[in-house]
Amino acid sequence: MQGPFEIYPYRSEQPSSGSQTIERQQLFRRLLWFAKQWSRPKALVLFVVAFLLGRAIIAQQMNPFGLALMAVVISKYRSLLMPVLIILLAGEATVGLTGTFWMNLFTYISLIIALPIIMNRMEGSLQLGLVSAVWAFGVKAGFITIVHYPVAYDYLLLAIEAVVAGALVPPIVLCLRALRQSRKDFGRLQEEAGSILIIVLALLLGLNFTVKEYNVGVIVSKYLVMLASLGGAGWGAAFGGACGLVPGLTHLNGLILAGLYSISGMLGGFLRNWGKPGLLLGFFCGNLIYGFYFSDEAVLRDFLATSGMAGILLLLTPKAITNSIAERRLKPTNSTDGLSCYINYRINSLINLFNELASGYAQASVGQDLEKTWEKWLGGIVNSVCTDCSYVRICWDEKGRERSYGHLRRWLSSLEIEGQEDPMAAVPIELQKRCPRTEELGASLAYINGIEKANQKWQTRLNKERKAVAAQLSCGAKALGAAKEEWQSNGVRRDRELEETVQIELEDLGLIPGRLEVWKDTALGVEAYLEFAPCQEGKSVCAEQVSSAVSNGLKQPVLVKGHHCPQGNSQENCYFRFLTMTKDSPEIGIAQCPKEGYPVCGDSVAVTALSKDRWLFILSDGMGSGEPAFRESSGVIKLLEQFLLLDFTLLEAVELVNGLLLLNSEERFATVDLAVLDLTEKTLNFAKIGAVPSLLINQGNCRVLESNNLPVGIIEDITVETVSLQLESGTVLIMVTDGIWQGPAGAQQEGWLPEFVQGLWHLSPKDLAQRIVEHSMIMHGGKAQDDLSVLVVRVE
Amino acid sequence: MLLNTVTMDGSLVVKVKGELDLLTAETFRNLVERELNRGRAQNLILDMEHVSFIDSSGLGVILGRYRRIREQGGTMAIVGVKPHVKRILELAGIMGIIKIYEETDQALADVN
Repeated sequence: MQGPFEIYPYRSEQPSSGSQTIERQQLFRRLLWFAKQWSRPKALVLFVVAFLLGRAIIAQQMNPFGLALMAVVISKYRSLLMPVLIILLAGEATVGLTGTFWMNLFTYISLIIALPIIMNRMEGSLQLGLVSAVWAFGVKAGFITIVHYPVAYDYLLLAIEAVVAGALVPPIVLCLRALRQSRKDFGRLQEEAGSILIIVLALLLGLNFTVKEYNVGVIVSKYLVMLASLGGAGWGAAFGGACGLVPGLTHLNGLILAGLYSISGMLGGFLRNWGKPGLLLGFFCGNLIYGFYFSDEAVLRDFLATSGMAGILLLLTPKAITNSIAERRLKPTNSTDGLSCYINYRINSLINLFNELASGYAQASVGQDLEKTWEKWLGGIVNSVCTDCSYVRICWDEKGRERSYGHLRRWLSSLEIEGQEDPMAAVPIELQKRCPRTEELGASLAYINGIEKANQKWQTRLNKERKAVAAQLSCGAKALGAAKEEWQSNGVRRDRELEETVQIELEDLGLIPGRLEVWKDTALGVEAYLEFAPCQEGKSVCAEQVSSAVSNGLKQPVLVKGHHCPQGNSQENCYFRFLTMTKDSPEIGIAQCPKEGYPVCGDSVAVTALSKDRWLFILSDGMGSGEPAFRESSGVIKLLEQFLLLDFTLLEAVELVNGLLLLNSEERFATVDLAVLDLTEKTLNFAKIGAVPSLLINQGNCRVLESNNLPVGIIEDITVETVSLQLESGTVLIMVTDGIWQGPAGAQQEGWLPEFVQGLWHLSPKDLAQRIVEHSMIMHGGKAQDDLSVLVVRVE
Repeated sequence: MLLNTVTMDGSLVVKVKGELDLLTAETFRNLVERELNRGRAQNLILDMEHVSFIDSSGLGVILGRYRRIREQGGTMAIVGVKPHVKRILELAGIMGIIKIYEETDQALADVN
């Protein structure tokens, strides 16, 4: 399934050097890829598991584990199917090449053929288990009916095997998914712990062989019971009981063995606080207590010897592992109440903190008390000039103080307001008459005046910046509040099953994500976030492949919500953010071409679903070209997108971004062409901030939308005009950057675009965007003289 | 691009000839900044009569100088713009903050 949104970087096609060479190269690449896949540590673990499960045959003819594993691998690990099949059969062959082996081989091959067809329209591990069980029963029943002379008991055994195999599918899916996702927290939920237990028991069955008269399965099972005892007496007893029931581990009766393991595990758990020695002591005590019931000395000796070997394994186990098991606590399935309360508490604390900081900055930005500042300055002058003057008592005694201050303040005011360059020209007449030191006073006042001017300038700037920070902190608190509400009401949750299906699709293409998260949001649908290690291929080369794989994995068309390719900068990861689209989603096409000589387009485009019915489209042109311009424009877009997603108004969002750009002393400007489409109201709100006009076409009628606002990052008091338009079905919106709108230098063909698209409006947005860029390139003589970007949206 | 500067009555008059784009914006910025840093001019008048093309980089340097002049308490004006360049200035919102004149004398009289 291919998403309708794509980025089309212009690049010339390389001439082919013969189809045979290409085929050979492709075959070689494919083989290399398989070799890489099969030699990965996780794949090797799966192969070991397959071998042991192949050996896990019950009652000499049933292998529900192998059947369940094959069903899971066919469904979710297609690239590893062949080696798993061979290794599983090899495991079964070590038990014996009986009729059961051939029947299983036949069943597995039939499953490989049938399962992908049956499961094509189904999903979920429960359905997979059910389908596999029914199919395997049908095939095996048919097989024995033809080959043997079956009795009713044979059919019953087959039915039991099929049911057990079906039930084993979900736990195997869970465990292998955890292995694929390298989850360190796996096993904390009850259902996960149960799955681990089932798989461990199955593996123990596969370990049922002897080395120098000692059964490896017995040693491993005892070792596992000891490990379980680290979690407490209950865990030890429960795990011991379960291990004891694994058939064929010793010559002892299953129930006796279960009791023995159980009581040993329990006693080991009781003494676990004394560390490994205490645990071993408890375990051996359990062995000895039960030893009274052994009539055969050889059995007791064998039993104690295997316990000793398991004890040595425990002592050799690194402390980090034993500690991790000892500290592991189970959580009830899907319980997130504690987490909710904690996150709630933390978010509230952050909101309060942001509000406090905002209020602090707002208070700090209130103007200083000028009266006090003046008094401070004048006091200084008096101290330095008048102290040793013979008139000091007359001028500055209780009666004269007020009058003298008045004279000096008037003098300073006239310097300040009227900008007198010569202080002596503004000296008050009363002061001139009686003060012998007017020249010194004038020089000091002129000096203060200069400093005060500079001070006021910086103070004004500081206040502006403080106000901007206060506004941003306040908005931050608002954003956190909105996020909290959204989180509480929407029930956003991570979907590990979808993550796995996406990962399978990516792995099939040879793409291994470093990070993969799929989130389900009741308001917005499904959102996927992927990170890859940087490659050397260049910008967006893998974008189409990744979009296609994600779309297939999610089984819905997807929209690229965000993408960043570091282009050989090995420090950064490449990331993608996808959003699933519904049938009502607008159809979108984007085409871009960087300026000749630059690898990156300086323009940025963003398409975001603000809610199910509201879509945001932004086109930004960073001043200049190449990577710096791209950083500028993408930075502005990301900020605007985030603010608008958090329900800020358009004006608030633009003001905040503007404020942030202004804080930087560098020249940072960007144009923003922004449109919000409301599918319920059928309206389009647009704002143009330094951007060139857009076109709105309906049934061939073309309207030019333009507005003359300054780009963001120039002045503090930015004004943004927004316009709202009612839309009709089939309306096409075309947003472009100036490279497209005004054509190349000297062409003076501003009006070419409306004319050009008149006859092409019926094309798909993707084709229309591409045609516009292509035509623009022709106008530019085949070499883009500026970054070219087009965003086309069709509303149905 | 050719640049010619002259300081008259506390105003720096810059005559620009050619294209003001990514290739020439840096030269324009450096020259104007150098002249303004001398401290002899408070205002800036851009004579764009012979500017044949302007792109986003050109707009960027004009807006950068506007910001600088505004911070130092001066006024900026543009003189003699060709219609298609005027249209670009209009779309970028520059005409809302910088006044455009027909003649340099007119601009000089007004900013002073």
